Amino acid sequence: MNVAAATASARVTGVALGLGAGVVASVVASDASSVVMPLMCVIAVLAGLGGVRTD
Amino acid sequence: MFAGSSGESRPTSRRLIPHVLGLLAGAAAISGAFAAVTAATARVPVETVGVVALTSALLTALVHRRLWPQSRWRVPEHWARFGPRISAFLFGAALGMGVLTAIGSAGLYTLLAWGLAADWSAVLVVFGCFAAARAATLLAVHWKGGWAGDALARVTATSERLVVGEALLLAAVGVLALGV
Repeated sequence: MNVAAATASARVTGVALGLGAGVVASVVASDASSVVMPLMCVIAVLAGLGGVRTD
Repeated sequence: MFAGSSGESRPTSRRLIPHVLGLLAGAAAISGAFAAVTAATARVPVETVGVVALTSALLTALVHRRLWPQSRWRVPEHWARFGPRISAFLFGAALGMGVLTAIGSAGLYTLLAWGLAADWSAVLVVFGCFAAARAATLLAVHWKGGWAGDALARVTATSERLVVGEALLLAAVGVLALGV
C-alpha cells in the first residue's frame, strides 16, 4: 500500500471512529449540545493549524 | 509573509504583531458578520451544523483539498505599498476571516455553519480559536530560530498528521449535532 492509499485509509478510519464516538457521546451525555461547543473550539484550532497548508 | 521583497526569510516583529492583530480582527469581523446576518434573518437549526460537519468529514477523508469549494483569491502583492505594518495587518485580517483565501481544512465549512447557528459570543470564541491557532503556526516559526523554511516544513508535516483527528472530530460533531 502506498503512502497516499494509507493516508486515505487512515482518514476514512478516522471518520468511522468519529461516527462511533459521536453515537456513544450522544447516548452518554445528558446534554449533547453542551458537548458540541468545546468540540467546535477544537475543530477551530485544527482548522487554524491547517491554514499552514495554504499560507 | 515569510519572504519579503528584501529577501529576508523570517517575519520581523514589526510585521508579526500587526499580522497577529489582523488575524484576531478578521475573526472578530466575520463573527460580527454572522451576528448581523442571524439578527436580520434567523439562526439555522443546529442539525444543519451536523449535516455540514458530516460532509466536512467526508470531504476530509475522500476528496482532494484542491477540489473543495473555496475562494481562489489571493492577497494581492500591491498591498505591500501600504507599508509593512498595514499590509501585514490586512494580510492577517484576510486570513483571520478564513473564507477569503484558500481553505486548508474542511472543518472551516463546519465553523461557517456554526456561525449561522450559534449565539454571537459562541461564534466569536470559536473563530477566536481559529485565528489564534493560525497565529500560533507563524509564532512557532518565528521563535524557533534557524531558517523559516525548515520550521515551516515541520509545522506543515505535523498539520498533515492531524487530518485524521480532524476527520474523527468532524464526524463525531456531526452525529452529536444531529442528535442521533
